[in-house]
Amino acid sequence: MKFFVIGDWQAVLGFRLAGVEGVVVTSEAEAATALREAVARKDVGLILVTEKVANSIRDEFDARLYGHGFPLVLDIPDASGPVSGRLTVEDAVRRAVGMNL
Amino acid sequence: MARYEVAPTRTNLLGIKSDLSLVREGHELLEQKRQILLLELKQLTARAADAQKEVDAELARAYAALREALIANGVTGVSSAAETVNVEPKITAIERRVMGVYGTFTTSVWLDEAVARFQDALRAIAGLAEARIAVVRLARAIQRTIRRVNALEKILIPDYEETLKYVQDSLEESDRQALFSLKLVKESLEKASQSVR
Repeated sequence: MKFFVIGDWQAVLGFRLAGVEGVVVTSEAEAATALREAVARKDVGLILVTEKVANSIRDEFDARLYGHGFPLVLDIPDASGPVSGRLTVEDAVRRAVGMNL
Repeated sequence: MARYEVAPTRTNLLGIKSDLSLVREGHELLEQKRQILLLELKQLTARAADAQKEVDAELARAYAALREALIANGVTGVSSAAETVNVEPKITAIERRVMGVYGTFTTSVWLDEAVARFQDALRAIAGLAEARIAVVRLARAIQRTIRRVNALEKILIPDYEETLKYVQDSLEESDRQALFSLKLVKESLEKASQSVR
């Protein structure tokens, strides 16, 4: 199973140095298309999406993040660091199962 | 709440009593399971939060190294170096860092550093993904357990209790009636014997 990265040019370039394929996206439409195409690939196990890009396609991204499906998705900081106000793991659990810890 | 359709007999009374104690035992066990799973979930969540911090830190280092490499080698230099990197076929392959690999395609220490840092970041990311999946799976298992505990608490046990009460009340009622008719019989017998005398 491969990683695949969707993000800005720095993220894609950096991960390419570690042998990870990726695609640079600069708009919401590009991001949505890239995610759909990456999901459709049989060889990809984990899709990394930089946070700002993930935010632009939040609904679609969350549907995969909290769904049962494969490949998995994960949002990661881009070169400018973690975005403020992102969900903690606890929040993510609460979202995923509608339950307080 | 609803009671089960049973005939109010002593045999059924015994049966319902033993069923009810079985259901209560099951409820107790599920409740214990829920508490154990919740404890485990808290630990797993803490672990996932740590993994998140590690990813953030590793990525910050990786991006910083990339910036240095970009300054030293330019976008074209870094990009052409990136082109020569083989795409890792498997996530598990990331686990081992093959020393000396990066020396073969670049002469820049900055580039070497960026490559190594992004490989470290990938390892941390794989750990985070694993931790998050574990958390969500466990949380779902807890959700199922809670639903079953609730079903026992709010439906099965009350229904059994109501049925038990119905059978008990009916049995008592028929006992009273039997007693009453016995009394009537006794009284009429007494009257009969008095008038005979």
